[in-house]
Amino acid sequence: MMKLWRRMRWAARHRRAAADLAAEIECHRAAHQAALERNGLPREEAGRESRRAMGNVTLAREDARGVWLAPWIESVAQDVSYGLRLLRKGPSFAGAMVTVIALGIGATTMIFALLDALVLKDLPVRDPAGLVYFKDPAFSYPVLQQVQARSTAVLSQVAAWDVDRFNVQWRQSLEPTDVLSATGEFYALLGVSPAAGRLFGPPDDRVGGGADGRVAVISCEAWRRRFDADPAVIGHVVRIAGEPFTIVGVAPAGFFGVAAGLAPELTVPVSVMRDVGRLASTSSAWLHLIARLRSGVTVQQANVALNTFWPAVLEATTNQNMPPERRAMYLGRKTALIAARTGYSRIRNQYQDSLWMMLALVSLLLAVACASAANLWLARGLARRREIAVRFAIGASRSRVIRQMLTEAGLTTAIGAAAGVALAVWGGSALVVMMSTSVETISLDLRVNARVLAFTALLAVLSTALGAVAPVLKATRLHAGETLKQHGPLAGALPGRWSQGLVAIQIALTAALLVGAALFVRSLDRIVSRDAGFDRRGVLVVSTDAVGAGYGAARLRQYYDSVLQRLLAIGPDVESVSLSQYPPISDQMGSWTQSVGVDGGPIQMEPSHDQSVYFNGVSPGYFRTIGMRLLQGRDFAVTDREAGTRVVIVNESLARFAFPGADPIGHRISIGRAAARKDLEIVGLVQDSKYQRLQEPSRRIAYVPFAQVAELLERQNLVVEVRAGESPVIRAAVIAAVHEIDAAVPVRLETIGGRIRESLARERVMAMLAAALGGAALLLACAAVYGLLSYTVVRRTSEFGVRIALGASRADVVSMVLRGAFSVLAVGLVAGLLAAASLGRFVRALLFDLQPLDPASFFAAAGILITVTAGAVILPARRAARVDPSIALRAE
Amino acid sequence: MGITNQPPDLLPGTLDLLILRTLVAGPLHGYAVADRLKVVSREVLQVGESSLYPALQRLLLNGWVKAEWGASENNRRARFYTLTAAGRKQLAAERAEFERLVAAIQRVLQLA
Repeated sequence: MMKLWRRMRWAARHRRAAADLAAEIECHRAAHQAALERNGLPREEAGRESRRAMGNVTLAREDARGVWLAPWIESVAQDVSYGLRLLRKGPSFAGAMVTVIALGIGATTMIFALLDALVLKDLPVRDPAGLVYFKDPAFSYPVLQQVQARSTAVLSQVAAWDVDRFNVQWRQSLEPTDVLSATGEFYALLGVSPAAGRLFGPPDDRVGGGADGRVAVISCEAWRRRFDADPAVIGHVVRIAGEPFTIVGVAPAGFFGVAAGLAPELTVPVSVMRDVGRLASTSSAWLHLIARLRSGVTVQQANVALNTFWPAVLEATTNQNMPPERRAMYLGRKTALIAARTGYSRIRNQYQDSLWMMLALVSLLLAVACASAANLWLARGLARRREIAVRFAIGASRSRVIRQMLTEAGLTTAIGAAAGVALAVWGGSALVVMMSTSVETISLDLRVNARVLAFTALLAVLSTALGAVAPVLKATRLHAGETLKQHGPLAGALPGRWSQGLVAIQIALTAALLVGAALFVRSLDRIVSRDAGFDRRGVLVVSTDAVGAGYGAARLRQYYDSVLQRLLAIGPDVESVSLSQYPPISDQMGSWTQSVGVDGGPIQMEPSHDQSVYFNGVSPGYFRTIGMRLLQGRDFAVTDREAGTRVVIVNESLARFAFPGADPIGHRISIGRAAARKDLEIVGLVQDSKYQRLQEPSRRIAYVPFAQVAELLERQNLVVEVRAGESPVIRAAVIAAVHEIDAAVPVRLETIGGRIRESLARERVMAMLAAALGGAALLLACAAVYGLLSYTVVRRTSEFGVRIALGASRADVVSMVLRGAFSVLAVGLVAGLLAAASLGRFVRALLFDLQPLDPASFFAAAGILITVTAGAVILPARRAARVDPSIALRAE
Repeated sequence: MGITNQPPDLLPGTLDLLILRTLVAGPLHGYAVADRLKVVSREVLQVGESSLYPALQRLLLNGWVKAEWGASENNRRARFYTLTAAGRKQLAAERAEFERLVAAIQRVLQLA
């Protein structure tokens, strides 16, 4: 063992060692020359004589080197070339083997690469281990200032950031672009240095801009893509949401801030990007906080310190006018510092559980692949019995033969793994595209890195160990003499319990995987088939960014009025149009929630967000446009103006909650407090509908007419709904109509169905991936069943011939084959379903409205497995039935 | 003293034994080992570097000696070989084995 270690160390620095040896031998010659000179030889002659006496120096060096190298390098090289020759000679075996391994390792590597990019990779910043972020998603700007002032004992720097999508006027085009707003400390805290120009610092982060005005930093990737890495980008002006920003620098390549999965193209100082009102507000929480620990301070110590100063931070940022309950709630907010070496990411929070689950599922596929490989190796071992026996007979040791066969296995696995990595990169990028939505482009760096390669290498070693070692050991456990005496290529080779066991294992793993796939598919189906409460087809949702294009207050109202008129003017295809603050399925656009008072009673604070009332501002005709039924009362009318009675339309859930058993029409609910209190008279009742996403439970929703909440919506874009079908012609007409009003306002067109699809991106990715894995496993399992049975039939052909000759019917023969197959299938299926049942609790959290023991999923999985494998059983069984006794017997 | 000068009758394995023995007194570099063998054996044993260096590498590989660079007597950089504990043990074992063998040969020569 020590010897092997010394050899390896030597090999690792063999250049040094060779140089040492050369120096040593030269030293030897010099010593010899010196000795000759001492004996009176003239210097030159001594030199010549000493060189002559050395003889063949190169050979001496080679010999000395050989001591370290010869025994293993040579034989490994021999094994590799022999292995390659064998693989070339049997391309179908090599092909099957490489495919199986590539599938298993590729799929596993793919999921791992996603996890690596999203969860495991350190931020590309100085000392990422010293970073912490504040738990609980978002904080107001005053909280940041308080934290900065009070945390200096444990945190050396605190910065805040936020990624949002704005319309950016690039050189040629106006495009919605992810923009990172960060405070001045951001870059210094992270310790990144610019690829060109400069990054911004605290002096730039002032309202209205610093000495250089309004500055922006462009990401290296955007710089390359949009400006061909032109250094003249420094000084270039881009308009973000209509405001000019001067690019002063390029961020280093691969740096996109601290949010894994997002790749904002521009970074701007927070105080320049956001208006003063937002910065001063203590009630809007929108910034994420990241900080660097003072050196020597641990996360635990920092958290202890945080707990002492956090109440003071909250106390200093409460509004004294707040009602006491709300104040108490605010003061009760908790936070904690969490190590942030991999950054903070909403996308990660959204996907990480799913990805770990996928890694578990995909390792089942890998296990199936290993079992397939093992079966192939078993067959290979049987086919090579004679060759192995000959090798033993001429004196090869068993360990030598084992080593040779394992080298061959390692070689195939390595080729398969390499193909798998290619597959992983390709599949991973496809998955990232599926995970992205039109509002959020997920960007992950899936380039193969050392960790991913190490993982793949580990998988390769593991699958060689699982797939090849046992079959090889088994193949070499034979008696040379006995084997050589037998006849025929498969003589004496029994199909064996091993193969059957392996196939049963494959069936079991496949069954478990299929149950998983069925659960995810059914869960998605459950969500999709929920009643949304509005039409999913025939309604276009038009999002415009008029605010970004410079519209404000009064002009904004005017703009939307003319959009509605222009849309109605398209023609009879447009049945109705409406405006709303949030579109159906608001998803990432968020929500507006308020607590309400009933019939003049006090405002009731709800213990949880979910139980407060969701509001949406809508125009008359909204319900008709999206296809919601008005159950009682009336819709809003143009006569519901600012001056008139404040009105509201409630949904069933809210009516049931506030006025159980009573007719809500004519009752009132109130929002706001003291002077700001407003009573709203209920004029209509609409059916329940989904507000943010399909999965949500029925929410209490109140709709208010725009005209009466104008102050809330002054600086906010609205969404236009158009009931006009979804044909391309109408889509084009709608976009043209909106552009006609003002071509500078960016427009995005969606359908309600499209919004639903995007809101379910995660669930869909899971279902598709699980189904794909199940399918791949099923394919491998089928091939295995087919292989096992074909082999059995070939092996037993002469036996069947005898039986038929002696009067057995063909049905008897077929049933013999089927019996063998059936037991293997049954054992595998039952084991797989049991395993799936016991592992079910791990997927519970990812399922919607579905128990992990959902019988339909289990039946579906079993049904698919039985049907498909039946196909693989029938072909060999038919071949058995067609055995001609005379031919079978003659072959013997 | 090229390749052909190697004493033809050196029993296999004895070179390792002899090298180990020369190192008992203290660390030596390669040339000094050859020189010591030559002097002590009254010029009967002349070991060429083509067998000396592979042998030294073998001893290194087995962990019986360790090598360190240092300055030789005439101030050249030279690699000095030192006997390790394992080397001492090996020397004792080989020496015992060798003496047993020689004694046996002599008995045969005298008595057979």
